[in-house]
Amino acid sequence: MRKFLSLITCCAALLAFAPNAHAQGDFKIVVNAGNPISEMSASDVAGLFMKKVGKFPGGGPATPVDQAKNSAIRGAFARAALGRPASAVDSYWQQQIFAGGELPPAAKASDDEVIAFVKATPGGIGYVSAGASLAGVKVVTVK
Amino acid sequence: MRLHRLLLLPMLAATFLYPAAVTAQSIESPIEFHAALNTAVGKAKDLPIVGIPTYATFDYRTAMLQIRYKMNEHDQFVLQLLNRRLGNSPLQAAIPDVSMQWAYWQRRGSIGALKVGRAPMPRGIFNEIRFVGTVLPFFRPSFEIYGEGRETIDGAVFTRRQPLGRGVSFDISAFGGSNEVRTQVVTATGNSIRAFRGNNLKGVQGWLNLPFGETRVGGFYADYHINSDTARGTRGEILYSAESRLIPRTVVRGEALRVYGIGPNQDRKSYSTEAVATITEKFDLSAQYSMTDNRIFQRAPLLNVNVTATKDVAFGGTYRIGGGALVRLEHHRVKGYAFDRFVPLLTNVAGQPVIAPPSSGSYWLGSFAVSF
Repeated sequence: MRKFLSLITCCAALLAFAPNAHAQGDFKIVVNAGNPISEMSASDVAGLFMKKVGKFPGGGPATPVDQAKNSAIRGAFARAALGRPASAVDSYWQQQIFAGGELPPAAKASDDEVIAFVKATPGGIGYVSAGASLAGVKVVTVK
Repeated sequence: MRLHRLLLLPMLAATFLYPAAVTAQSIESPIEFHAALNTAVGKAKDLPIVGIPTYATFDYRTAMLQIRYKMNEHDQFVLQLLNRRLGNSPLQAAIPDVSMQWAYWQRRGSIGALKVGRAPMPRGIFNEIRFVGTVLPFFRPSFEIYGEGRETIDGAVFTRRQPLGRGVSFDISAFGGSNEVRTQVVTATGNSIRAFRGNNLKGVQGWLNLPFGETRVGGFYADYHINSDTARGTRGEILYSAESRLIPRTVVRGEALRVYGIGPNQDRKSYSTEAVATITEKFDLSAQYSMTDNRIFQRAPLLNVNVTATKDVAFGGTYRIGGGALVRLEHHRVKGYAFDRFVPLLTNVAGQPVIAPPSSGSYWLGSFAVSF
């Protein structure tokens, strides 16, 4: 038992200094250009992307869209907007799926695909890199 | 059962071999496939327990295949097949290798969600996700609280979330129907496997979600009627649960269960508390303490027996290797009477039956889990 605890402690100490795989890049929240909303609270954003609420604060139905699994921007978004690491978000969705709950937002492979989806979907909401071209969508300010 | 196994294994193999194709399909298609595997190697010291013998066994796993068909925006049909192996556990005789764990239709509406058919029972923190190894801190949730073999409800489950303002909300699930109950019970004369149906089942699970640290506190109540060869009457269950992430990078959970009434002829009280610390994004450390106090009712002139049936102290480490997979190592130190081999509960002192000293054992489990 003591050997086991020592082994676990050593592993923890080594892993605590392992490099973080996720880059902490900036991102912007985007919605369809026809959406009247222009700012949202951080908890509203988290509620929509975790599908705890299905509507924008103004009342319109929301269709969140995610970025590709293991992408740096998804990791940064999870930490900054959802308040937890991407692995914890993945765990949350596994719980939802196997408990018969909500399914995770569809994942798009790039900023361009996210923009195209949001542009074509009246209730669409996504996040893209700070440097992405934002033509045809609207940036939402997070309070 | 053989047909189920023949169907499940190639389907599981196909979904694990071609996850990319399945995932890609899931975005566009009304049919979604999800799968979870939680497989372990275990070895016990001194006494066999929860199916783990004193020699190593690899015959220890749960594997699930879930199929969802989305009929429209509001309706879906969900099927889930489960393969469960518990090593040398006596419970295995009462639990099929492969079973249709879920088969339900679900409608989501503005007032809530309704599931009809065979659905997961909303009970405590873990019941609905108890086989998803990638979201559990140990191979299984506390055996004292959740046991094995009573996870579903045949009937209807209605769930609603009610926002209460200021970030507080209340989740309520009400259910009714019947369920399968398979348990391993410590009695004065040995371990006993009980397998029967709980009829006229009705119950509720409520959760109060608080706006700090993802904290929630919950309560569960259910009662059902037993009409088996050995027992006839009503049994009740009360379960209190709490979960919080108030401490940074740490999850703390606690649960207390009481099972009473006819069937086991016991008043059983179980407790479990655990903490999971996220050391890095890939590595967690977990600790858990569980225990069960039994009051065993006996026929006169025998006296009722109060006994601590089990104390289980567990430590574990989890490493997420990416791609939805993880490896885990855990050690359990168990003291009590609930082992797979009979240990005496009573002994004679000066001609009088008294509680025998508890037996001790321990076991290791190394496991691999993946889900998508």
